[in-house]
Amino acid sequence: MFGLKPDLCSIPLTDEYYSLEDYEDGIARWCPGCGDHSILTSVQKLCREKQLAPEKTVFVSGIGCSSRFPHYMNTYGFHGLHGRAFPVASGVKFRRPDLDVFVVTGDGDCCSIGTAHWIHAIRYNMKMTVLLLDNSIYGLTKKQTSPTSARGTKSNTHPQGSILPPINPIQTTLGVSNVSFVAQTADWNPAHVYETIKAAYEHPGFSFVRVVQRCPVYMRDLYDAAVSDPTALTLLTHEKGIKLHENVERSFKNIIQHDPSDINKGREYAEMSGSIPIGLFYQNKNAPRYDEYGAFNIGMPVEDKISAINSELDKYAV
Amino acid sequence: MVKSKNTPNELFNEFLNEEALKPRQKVEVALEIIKPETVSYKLAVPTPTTEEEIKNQWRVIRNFFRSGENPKRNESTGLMPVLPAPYLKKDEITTDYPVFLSVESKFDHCPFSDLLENTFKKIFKEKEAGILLQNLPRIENFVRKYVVDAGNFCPFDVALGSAIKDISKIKIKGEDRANFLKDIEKFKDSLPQSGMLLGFSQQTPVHFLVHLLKYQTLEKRKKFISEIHVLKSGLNDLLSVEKSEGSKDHSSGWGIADSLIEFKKLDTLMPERASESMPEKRYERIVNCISTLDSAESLLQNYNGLIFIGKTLSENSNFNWNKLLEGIEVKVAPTNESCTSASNGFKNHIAGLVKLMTAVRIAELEIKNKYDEEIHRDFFKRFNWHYFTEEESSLCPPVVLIEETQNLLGKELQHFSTLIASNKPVKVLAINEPSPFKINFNDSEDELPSYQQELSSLTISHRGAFTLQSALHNPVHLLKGIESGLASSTPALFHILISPDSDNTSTQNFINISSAVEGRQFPLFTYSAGENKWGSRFDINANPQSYLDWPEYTFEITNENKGTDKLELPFTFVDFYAVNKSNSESLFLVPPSYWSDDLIPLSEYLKLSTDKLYAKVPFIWLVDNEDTLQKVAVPYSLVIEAKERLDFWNFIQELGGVNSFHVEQAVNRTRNEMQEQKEKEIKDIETKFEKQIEEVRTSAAGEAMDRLAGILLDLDSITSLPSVSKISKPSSSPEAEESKTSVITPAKVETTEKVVEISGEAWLETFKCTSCNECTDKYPRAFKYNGDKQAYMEDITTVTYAQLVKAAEACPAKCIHPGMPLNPNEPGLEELIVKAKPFN
Repeated sequence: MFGLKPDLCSIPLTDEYYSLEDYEDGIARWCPGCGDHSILTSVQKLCREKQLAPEKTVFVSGIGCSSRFPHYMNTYGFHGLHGRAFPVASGVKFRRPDLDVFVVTGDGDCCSIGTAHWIHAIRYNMKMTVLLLDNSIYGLTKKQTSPTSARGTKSNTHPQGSILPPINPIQTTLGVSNVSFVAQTADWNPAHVYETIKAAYEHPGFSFVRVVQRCPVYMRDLYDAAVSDPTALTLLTHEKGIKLHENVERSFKNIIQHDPSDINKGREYAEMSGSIPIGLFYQNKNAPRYDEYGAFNIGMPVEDKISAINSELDKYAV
Repeated sequence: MVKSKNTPNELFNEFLNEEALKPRQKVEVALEIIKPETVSYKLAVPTPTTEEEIKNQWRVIRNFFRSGENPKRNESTGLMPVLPAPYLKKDEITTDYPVFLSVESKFDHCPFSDLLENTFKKIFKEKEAGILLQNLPRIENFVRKYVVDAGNFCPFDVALGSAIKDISKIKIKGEDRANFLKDIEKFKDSLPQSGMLLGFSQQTPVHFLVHLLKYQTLEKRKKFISEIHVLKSGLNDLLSVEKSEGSKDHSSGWGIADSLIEFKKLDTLMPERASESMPEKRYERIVNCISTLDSAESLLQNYNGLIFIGKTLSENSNFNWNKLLEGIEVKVAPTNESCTSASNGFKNHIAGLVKLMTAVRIAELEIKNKYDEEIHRDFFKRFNWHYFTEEESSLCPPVVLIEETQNLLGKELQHFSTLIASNKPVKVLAINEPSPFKINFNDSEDELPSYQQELSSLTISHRGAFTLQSALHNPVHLLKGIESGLASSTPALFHILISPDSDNTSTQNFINISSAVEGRQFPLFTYSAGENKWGSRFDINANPQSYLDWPEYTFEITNENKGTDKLELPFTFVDFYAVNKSNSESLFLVPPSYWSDDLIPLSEYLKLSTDKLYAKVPFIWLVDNEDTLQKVAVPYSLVIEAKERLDFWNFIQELGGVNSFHVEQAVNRTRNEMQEQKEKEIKDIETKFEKQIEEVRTSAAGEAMDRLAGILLDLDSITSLPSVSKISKPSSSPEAEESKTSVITPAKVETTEKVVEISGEAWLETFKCTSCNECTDKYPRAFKYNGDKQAYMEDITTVTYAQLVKAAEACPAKCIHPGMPLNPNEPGLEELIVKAKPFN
C-alpha cells in the first residue's frame, strides 16, 4: 500500500546485542533433572530474542524452589516474602511501566499463602508475565502436600495420602473477573514451553502460565510416564493461539482446535482428565489494565509534587 | 440431506466465476504495516441536537454540495485521509529506496532491502547467523540514512562498508561475537563489490536513465568491439596476402624446397582465381572498411548516448545537470523545438553507426570471401538504420530527449506525435511535475484540469512505441520499464510522475506520488510494442488492486465499547485530493449529529444511477489530529472530477483486460452453451436411469411376487432363486486368499526388523533437552550445550557405554539414546544392552 513497507525505522535496535550468557547469573542450584532448568533456559532465550535490556527487566518471586529464579537471571530481581510476589511486582509495574516485569512463583507460593494476591493481580490485569512453576509438592521444605497435589499424594504432612481434591490453577484463574491470558505448558516439552512464555510476554496484560513440571526428588513418578508417552499431553491449538513449528505440532498425538476467545470452552478443557491439556485456554487483549492509570506523573519534579500535594491539602484547610 | 458441492454445474460455475477472470494480483503487504497498536482511530461522538438544527445544517450541506461554498472552512483544515494519515505524521518512512544499481550483468538492479534479504537466504540456512539476521534492519537503516546524506546517489561499496563497520561495533560477548563477525564477512563477500545506490528524489528517474545508458549494454558493446578487432585483423590479413602476392616470386627463396618443388608447374595446377591479384575496387573497399572499423571504439565504447534536454528543464535549478549527465553527450534543445532537435540529432547520430554497421557486415562478407559486387553494392548503398537487426540496434547508444510533460502536451504535441510516428528509436523521458491541483468552481471550460495529462495514452495510439507510465514511489516498476524501453528497437516514452519540489518533507512528497497512483489519478502501465498480442503488450498489474475501481483496505477502529470494528475503506480520487493539506479546506466537515442516510460514501455515490442520486450527498472519511474519524462532504464539482478519473481508469482497465466487454460477452456465451450442454447431458442421464429404475422395479416386483408365492405355497427354495444369488457376496477365490495372506511375507518381516535394528549409534534429541545440566555436568566432554543451551553429543568416545547408559537413565527428558556399544570388549555389555533397550 502506498509503496510503503513495514516500518523499519521504529524497530528498536540497541548498540549491544545480548547473548544467552548476558542473562545468566551463577550456577542454578536446583536438583539435577528439575523442570525449573528448562524454564530458566526458555526465559533466557526469550530475553535474547526480544533483546530485553537486563537493566530494564525485573524478576520477582516469593518463596520456594522456583522462587530462586531471580538469582539465576542477570537482571534486576526481587526475592520477596512468601506469597507476596504479586504485590511487589504490581508495585514495580505501577511506578515503572517502562520495565518488563516477570513473576516466578510456585504452587505453594501462589496457590496457598499468596492466593488473595494472585486473585487480585489477575483482576488488576497489569502487564506482567507470570510463571507458575507447579510441581505439586513443597520441595524446598522436603515434601509436604501442596494445594495442587493430586488426591492421595503421600507426603510428610499426609503419610496416608492427601484427602482433599487439588485446586486447579487454570480453572481458578479463568474464574476471576477481568482475566486476560491463561495458558498451560509442560516442562518436558521445551519447544512448547518457549512458545508459550513468548506468547505470554507478548500479551498486553497479565499473562498467566502454569508450567506442569516434575520434582525429580519428591514427585519423581508423577509425570515420569508422561515424558515418554506422546498421548499424555493434549495440544490446544488455534490460529489465534500459540504458534508452534509444524514439526513440533506434529509430535503431538492429541490435538484439539480451541479458539482462545471462547472462555467457556476454555473452562471445559481446563477440567480435562486423562491427558494434560497444554496451550492457550483464554486470551482477551482488550481487557482494561490497571497499570495504564498509574504512572502519569513520572518525571514530575519534586517541587511540583510538593506544590500539588499542598494545593490538594489546601482544599481542606479550615 | 447434505448437498454435494461437486456437481458438474457447480464446478462449471466455479470455473467460470468472474473471480477467475481477474488478473493475477501481487501479494500486497496491505495493512499489516498499520497495526492497531500504533493506530487506533475512534469514531466521532454525536452531541444532542434539535430537529430544527438538523434541518438548518442540511440546508448548508446541500448548498455546499451544489456550489462548493464552505462557510466552515476552518473546521476541515488539517484533516487527513485515513489510510496515509499515520505516515504523513512521520519524518521517516520505509520504502523500496535506496535501490541498488548494478554495473555487472550477474547482479540485477533491485531494492537494497531485497538484495540483503535474498543474499542472506542464499548463503545461510535456517537458524544460521541469527544475530546478523536480527540486525539486517540496522544495515538497511544505516545505508538508507547514508544515501540520503550523500545526496541520494553514492557508490554501493562505500555505503555498505560504512554500514558493516557500524554493525561490527555492536557489543556482543564471547563466542557469539566471533561467530557474528565471521557471518558478517561471509555475507559481505557474497554481496556485489561494485554498483551504486540511489535514493528517492526528483532526480531519481534521470539517474536511472543515465546509469542504464552507461552500463546496460556496456559488456555487450565491449564484446562487439573485440569482435570488430578480429574482423579488422582478418581484413588486414587479406591485405597482407595481397601485398605478399604482388611482391614475392614463388620460384625462389625457399631454400631446399626450391630443389624439391617446381613452383611454375604448381601455379598451373592452382585454380585461376587463387593466383589472381585482388581487384582494385575490392582492395579499396577493404581499406575503407578498416578505416571505418577504427572508429568503433569512439562510437561504442567511449560513447554512451546523446541526450537532448528541453530548454526550460535545462534551466531548472533543482536538477544539477552537469553532475547528473556526466559521461553523456548533452545538447540543450531550443524552446518548442525539443522533439525536432531530437529527431534531427538522431539522423546525425545514427549516420556514423550506420556506416560502422555497414563496415562490419562488409568485413564479414569479405573475410568469408562472399561479397558479391552485383548483389551487395546496391544493398549497402541503401543500407540505413531500418535494416539493423535487433542485435545491432541494441548496440547503438540511443538518442534521448528529456522534457517536461507540460511542454510535450503544449505546442510540442504535434512534433512529439511526428517523432513517435516516425518510428525512429528515440527515447523520450517525460518528467511530470504536477502543479498543485485545485477545483474549478467557476465552470470555466477553457483549460483542462492539471491532472489530465494523458501523454502516455496518446503515445499508445501510435502503436509502435514502447510506453511506460510510472511513478517515483515504485522504483521496481520504474526501473524495469526504463530498462525494457531502452532495450527495445522502437521509440519509447517514459512518462514519470515526480513530486513537485517544495518545502514538503520527503515523506509528504512520497505519499503525494503514491496516493496519486492509489487514487487512480495517475495509473501505472506498460505498453510493450514488440509483443505480438495486445494482451501481452499492455500491463496494468503494478496498480494497487487493479481489478477494482478504487483500491480497498480493511481498517480496524475502536468502538465505544473499546472493542474493534472493521471498516472497509476505498481510496478514491478525492482522498488523493485531500492528501494535500490545504485542499481539505474545500471539503465540508459534517459533525456526527448530522449523519444521515442521505450522506453516502463517494465510492457508492459514483455507482448509483441518476434516478437514485436525488437528495444524496457523497462523503469520504478523514481523520483529525486526535485520531477521530470524521465524515466530510464532497462538492459536486469534485465529484465530476472523480467521475472523470474513474472513467479514465476504467478505460485503462478494459485495455488491460479487466472487465473487458468482449471477454464478458464471450464468457456469457460460453457459459450459456455449456449450461445447455450440461442440462442436455443431465436430462439424458436422467432418462437412462429412469429406464433402468423402471426395469429394476418391474423385475423386483416379479421377484417379490415369486417369493410371496413361494412362502404361501410353503416352498423352501428361496435361496436357490437366481435373484438371491445376485445379492450374495462373491466367494473369495483361492488366489485372492493367497494374495491376502501374502501381505505378511517373511521377506517383509525381515525388512521391518532391519529398520528397527538400524539405531546402532548413540544419538540425542536436542530439541527435547530441558537444559537440566545432568549430562553436561557429569560428562562434559561427551555432552555440550548448543547456542540455545540444549545438549548435543560432542564426543561419544570419551565415555564408556556404561556411562552412556547411566546418562540416558538420568536424563529427565529421556532424550539420550545410547544405541549399541562402540567397544565390544567393555565388561558387562550384555546387561548394559538390556538396560539401554528402553532408551533406544
